[in-house]
Amino acid sequence: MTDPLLQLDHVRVRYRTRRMSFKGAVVYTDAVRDVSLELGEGQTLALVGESGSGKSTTARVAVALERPTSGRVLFDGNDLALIGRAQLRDLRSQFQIVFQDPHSSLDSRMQVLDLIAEPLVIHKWGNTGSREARVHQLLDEVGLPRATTGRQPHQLSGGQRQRVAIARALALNPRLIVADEPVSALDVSVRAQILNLLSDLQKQHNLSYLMVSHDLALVNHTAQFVAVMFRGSIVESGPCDQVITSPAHPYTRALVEAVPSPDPAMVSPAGTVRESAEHASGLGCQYANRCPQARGTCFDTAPPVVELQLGRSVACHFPLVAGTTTAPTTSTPNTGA
Amino acid sequence: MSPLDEMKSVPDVSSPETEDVLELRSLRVSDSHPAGARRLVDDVSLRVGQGEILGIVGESGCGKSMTAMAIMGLLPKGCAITSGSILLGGRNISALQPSEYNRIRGKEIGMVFQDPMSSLDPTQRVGLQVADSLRVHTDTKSRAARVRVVETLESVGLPEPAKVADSYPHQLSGGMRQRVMVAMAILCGPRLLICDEPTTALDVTVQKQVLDLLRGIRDSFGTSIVLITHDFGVMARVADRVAVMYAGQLVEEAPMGDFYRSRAHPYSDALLRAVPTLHGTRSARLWAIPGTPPTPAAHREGCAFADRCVNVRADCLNAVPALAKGPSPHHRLRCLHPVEPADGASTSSAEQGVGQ
Repeated sequence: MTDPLLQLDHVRVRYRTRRMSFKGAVVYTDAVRDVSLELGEGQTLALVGESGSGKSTTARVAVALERPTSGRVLFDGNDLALIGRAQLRDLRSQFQIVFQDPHSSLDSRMQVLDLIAEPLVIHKWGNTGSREARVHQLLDEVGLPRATTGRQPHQLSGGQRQRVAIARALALNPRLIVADEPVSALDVSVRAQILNLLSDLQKQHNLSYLMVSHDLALVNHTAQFVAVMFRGSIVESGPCDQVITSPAHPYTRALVEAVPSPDPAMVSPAGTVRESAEHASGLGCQYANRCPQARGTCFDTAPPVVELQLGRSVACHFPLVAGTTTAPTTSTPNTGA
Repeated sequence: MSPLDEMKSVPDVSSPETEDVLELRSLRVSDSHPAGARRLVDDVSLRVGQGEILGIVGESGCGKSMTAMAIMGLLPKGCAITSGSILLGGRNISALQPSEYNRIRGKEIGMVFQDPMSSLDPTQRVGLQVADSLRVHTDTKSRAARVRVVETLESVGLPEPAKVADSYPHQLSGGMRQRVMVAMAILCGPRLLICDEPTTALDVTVQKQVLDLLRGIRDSFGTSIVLITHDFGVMARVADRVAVMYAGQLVEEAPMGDFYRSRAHPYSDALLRAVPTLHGTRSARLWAIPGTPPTPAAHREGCAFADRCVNVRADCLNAVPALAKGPSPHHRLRCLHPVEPADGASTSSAEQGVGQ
């Protein structure tokens, strides 16, 4: 493979919490711990996980909305922490973000024309006339009538607003779009329209997508690669179809089994996940408290990242899928699906 | 015609002739819009048998939550039942005074809402809040109430129920909070539980547990449940029967399995196809429904779905189709030109449903 467009190298994001420890020391929490990932040109990588797993923070780090506490973010080979401000500003035109809720991400007092032209203005692109022409072209691309330009966000439906947000992200011909739950705020019948639009745009412009989602079925449909996050770490990553059909991490398996199927004949058996509000100790596997097959080692030693095959890895002491370097698991039945 | 004559998937139905716990008769709810009252719920008739779980599916603005609010007597200001009735165990409750409703709500009808954090008082210990409905509806003494609360918290699968009762809501996880809400709803042993998007705010793994809990409650107490959701996956996991709403109207209703195999309304079909699944082929295009869900209207000339429908013909625009018999038994359908059964499961001609 050629050099990836986006690369995260051992990224850690640490926040200071409001809590104080017993001795009065500042308490930190790691939202993202030691995350490494790569995304190639024209590909889609999905970050999946439950709320609080660090997937959105990782996405924000990838587009320089957040600085990693340690580790590197490379966009097209440029370390975002090392390049100068002006250079970062130029580079920003190449990566854009689409947020979950177009209701709150678009300024309600601006007209659609200005909303879509705003990135062009900021990057001093063209003049008023050429910008308007560009806005019209973008509206065509995202499937909105040109008459939309004079509207304000509140006059549009949720799906139309998300199309405006996408047009805005496309304005500067980016190479990477980070989409943070791009359809979860939309009605079911409208979601498919937006997902199809994103996939068409990807083909036309050879865009790379970093998609954040909690919906594994949606990810299965849209992404080639998936990284499953749990409490700030990537517990499993690899090609989407492999990870979903034969998960190697017990958490991935729990996620796959929890996806509700609309076919009543395919409803999975009740409960395999244990609920626990308690956090694991800092030492062992973060998932140990909820894992149905946790053993002694899991509680005292952090699991190493094991490469199962090229491009597929898992962070588990006892992965459900045998790799080339690990011993096969014993008693657990495999989810062939 | 009663879609409730048989409830084969319901266990332990004691009497052969089951009484409807809830019946909606041509319920209509309108608001007071300056441009004329708009029908938010338009002529909805539904029945829920004892121990039955009815799922109501639809998109935002289709009237599913309004229907739930009407049943609970909690319609927002400006909205009112303009015609039709709501029968709870045969008794008409649609014209009750607010004070009379207070005696039913929480006692005979339990409620679980979407977001447990905003339904719980952050300043009060969970146990006290759960006990509230016991204080209001019964004369249980506080010590006995405490025992009952802890028992109920245990029955909804909360570990260390006594500790949970002494906690504040923020000390519990989202899933635990929703279990507390369920405990609160079932404390007085209601006959009917209304759950409005009970798992939308939860993570998938937790969602599954809460759905299994609802099924468990039905199985152990015979509680009837009305589950409101936009997610067919949620529906398939718990519901015995599905009602699809669009633009305030009931457009299709059938037992869960029949619905999935032989759904006939173009809207139900499109909605099911538009949802990506784990087993579907990847990177094939999704079946998209053009246009956007409709806004409430004063009245409609033809079928509300006509402008987004693939099967639309001239007669769809003339009159609102009647809710008639669908392609399978106990199946009701509001469509003049239904789609063919998805996988040939049903043999009866779709044309039969057009009758009336």
